[in-house]
Amino acid sequence: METVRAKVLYNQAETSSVYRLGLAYDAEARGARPARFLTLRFDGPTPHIVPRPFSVSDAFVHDDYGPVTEVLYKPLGRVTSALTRVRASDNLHVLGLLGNGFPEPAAGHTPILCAGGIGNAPFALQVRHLLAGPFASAPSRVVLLLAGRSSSDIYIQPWVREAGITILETTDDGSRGARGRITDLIQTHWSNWTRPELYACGPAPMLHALQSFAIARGVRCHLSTEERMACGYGVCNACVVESRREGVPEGHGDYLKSCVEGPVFECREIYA
Amino acid sequence: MTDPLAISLGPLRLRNPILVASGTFGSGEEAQRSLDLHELGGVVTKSVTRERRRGNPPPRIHETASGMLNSIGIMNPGLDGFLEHHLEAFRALPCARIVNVAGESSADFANLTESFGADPGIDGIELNVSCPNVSGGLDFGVDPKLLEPLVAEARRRTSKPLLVKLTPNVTDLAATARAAEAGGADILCLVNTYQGMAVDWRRRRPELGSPTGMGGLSGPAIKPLALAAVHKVRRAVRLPIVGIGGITDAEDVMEFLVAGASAVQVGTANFRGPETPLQIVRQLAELHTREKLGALSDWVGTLQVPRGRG
Repeated sequence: METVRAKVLYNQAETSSVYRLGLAYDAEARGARPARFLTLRFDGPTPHIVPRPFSVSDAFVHDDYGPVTEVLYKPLGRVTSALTRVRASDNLHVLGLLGNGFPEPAAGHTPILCAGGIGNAPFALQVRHLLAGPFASAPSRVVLLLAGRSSSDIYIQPWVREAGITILETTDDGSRGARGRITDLIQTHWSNWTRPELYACGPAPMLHALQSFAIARGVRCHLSTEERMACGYGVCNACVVESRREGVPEGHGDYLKSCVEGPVFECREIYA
Repeated sequence: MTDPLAISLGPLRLRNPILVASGTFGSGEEAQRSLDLHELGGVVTKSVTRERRRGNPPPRIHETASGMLNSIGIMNPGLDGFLEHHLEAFRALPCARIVNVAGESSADFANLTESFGADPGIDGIELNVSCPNVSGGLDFGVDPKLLEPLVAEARRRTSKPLLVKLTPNVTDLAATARAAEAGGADILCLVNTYQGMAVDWRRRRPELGSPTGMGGLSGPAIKPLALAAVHKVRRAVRLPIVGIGGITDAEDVMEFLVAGASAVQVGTANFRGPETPLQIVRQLAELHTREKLGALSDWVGTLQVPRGRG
């Protein structure tokens, strides 16, 4: 694990709030797994001190570029806004891959991938891995839920839409898909799914709601957490989430480092 | 011929003047897994406290202009946890191994010092009397009358090199430096972070989750402040100094040496990646060759402030 410089292949707006950035960086060779992540840092006009973590959104071999690693991001803060001005052939400092990543679904279970806003980031890679593995002959059994505040939050890489999986959409304002929350969408379709196993990435309130739902229903639910972090490799102790243990009240649990012990936790392990 | 970058830091001999600062490198295990740290001057551990510490609620960091605020709160497994899970790997590091200890009382500091005080696998003990994120430690670091006996008590518990890491959050840093010297410190390390704050005005909340809303500022933003601190302390005491504050490359290292430090600790820059301090060592070696710097010790404290200006 060492920081390398990787060339930007493309960096484009897919919707008014979702950007897709491709790097000449071989994530598969570094143990790519959905919800594992890398950190990016750039020099230049807007230098910053602390690298920023990004989920590996996709990893594939391109005919011209060779191995490509994709990340999705939403320009919200100073650094992600500056990232939109990075151009093809610029170099970024990349450290990865970091974290644990989503586990594979248990045999016979239906993977329900729950994306909230820019929490869509890890799911193209997960779809890629599921379709290359246990769901190769039954792609429609993979369910991807895309949720957001409005239509501009709804995005997944175009090839995923052509892959034959089941995609359902919902927005808070009803501008795309069903109107409502991701939990409403899950309730609506719940009875169609055989032994559902939830995978979630998105804003904290969504993770919290899915956690409560999964515990009440007695199903497994893997949460990809996102905490502010400085290092990404376990030394700064910033990116902590509170562990959940029987007999230990909330507010008193040990903190776990989401960069090395996560970012994925089964929802019974933490307070989301 | 001896290594041209080798330096003496009081009783410590280092391969080169690059150490990594407490709390920014774990206990070196994470980096040693993928890198070879034999090129590094040394590693200072995350602070070890008597009891396990959970640390502060998140968010624990916030980037600021050229700097970073943190309010980790010395999250660590405590002495027993450190001895059980980290000491063995730490002892095996191929560079100088310095344990940083933090206490809530003078007795804590003394007992923690004693715990490592005779360990042949430990090359030095750094007293963290200056963390702004816990109550207790900082109080010792700001009051010379408390600091001197605290250092003296720790001094009695070990014959190993004793380092004292000072806080800059004082009116008179020279006074705390002299107190540490009088207490028997071998080496002074400065500076720890500057107390600071970031505000989300729309939510009317601090950006950090600590109980005080405040944290410690580090990174290039504090480098000029740290250089001034080193310069002042250099003139106040005879002890060797380890300069800390925003060091990210070999140029920064030489600035601290000229200002009066015999070695440096790289801190926040390590968050760019575990290879950072090794890159700085290599840069320093290149700079040393390119500009024919000779013995690095000949540069220490050679700053000349022209007199009679104005």
